Amino acid sequence: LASDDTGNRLRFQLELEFVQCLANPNYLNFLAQRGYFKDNAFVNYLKYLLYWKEPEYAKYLKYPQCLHMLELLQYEHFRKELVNAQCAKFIDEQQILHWQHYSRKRMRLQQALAEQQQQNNTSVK
Amino acid sequence: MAMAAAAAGAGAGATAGGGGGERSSTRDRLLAALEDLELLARELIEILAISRNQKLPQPGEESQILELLIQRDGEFQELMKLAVDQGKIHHEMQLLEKVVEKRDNDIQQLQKQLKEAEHILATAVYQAKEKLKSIEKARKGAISSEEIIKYAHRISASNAVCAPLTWVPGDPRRPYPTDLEMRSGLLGQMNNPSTNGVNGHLPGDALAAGRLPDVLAPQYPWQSSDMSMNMLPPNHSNDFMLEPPGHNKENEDDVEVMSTDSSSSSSDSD
Repeated sequence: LASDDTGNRLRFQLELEFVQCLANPNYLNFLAQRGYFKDNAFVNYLKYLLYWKEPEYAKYLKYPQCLHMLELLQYEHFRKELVNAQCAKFIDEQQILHWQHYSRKRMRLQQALAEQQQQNNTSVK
Repeated sequence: MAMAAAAAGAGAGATAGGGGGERSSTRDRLLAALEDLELLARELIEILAISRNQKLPQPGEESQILELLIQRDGEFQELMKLAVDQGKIHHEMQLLEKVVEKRDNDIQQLQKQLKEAEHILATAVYQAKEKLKSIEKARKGAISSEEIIKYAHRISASNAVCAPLTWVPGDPRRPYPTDLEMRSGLLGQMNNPSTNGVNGHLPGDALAAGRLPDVLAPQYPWQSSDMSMNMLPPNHSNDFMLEPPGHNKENEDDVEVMSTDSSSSSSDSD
């Protein structure tokens, strides 16, 4: 019974790690090029991993973007496209740009605030 | 006599014709009676006029005519009374008809209002049901705000979903686990307990190999050190070879294998 529990804990951690690795487009390219996406057992495993979308599991994810990649991986077309290095690079670039979205937004807000304060100061004078 | 005739005409004219062919209307009877009276009166006057000049051929004729006249006059008077009564009844009928019409209008008004009320109520009930549905939905997905804030902090503070403000191209940090993180995690340690130079293999292989790492302690927070003991992954069967029905989202035919890159697979993004 104890070993069963340990086994489950281990499986949980392994699957948690693996599902988050799917957020890395280079890793996906790696898997595609080694033909893992053509293995039916692997494709079924990807479908099985969809349980991470449930809130009680999703709260353990540090990189929630992996769920989006997981959803896309359910489509055969996407899996086939990932063999291309350019495809992986494109996804990588878009991911990083999106990642910077909030910092950019914050910077813009700060700039706008600074400009407004400047205007207020000049008008008060 | 003329005035009585006019009144009778007016009163009798208002009554409808009697039912069927035998009974004639009061108006007709009145008119007939008037004609008779006229005739009799004329005859009487003729006979009286004749009897002034010469002897009557029939002695009792004028008294006969007189009697007939009186009889007819009696009938006429009765008919007049009848006409007056009928007129009253008719008037009452008209009043009642007016009342009935008013009631009909009232009923129609009420009908309209009822219909409107029903419509409004139906709308209200429908909207209330929709509200209840959305309340139920919200309740099902209820999460404590504390948990949400904790989670938001966890994924933001570690720069997992938002880039660090000082990030420039060349910074090794990424929105996904990097090579380094992957290799130092549980998966990476499973097949590479000593070396760092080989890429990680699939969890399936590692489990099949049955090798467990010596150290289970995670080094990066994305390996969940705070997992609860009751957390279990669902229905684990090793039969991933079995195809569940319709598992392919697209029904594409097999395309020819793309030419794979023969260069090293080391997946560093820079």
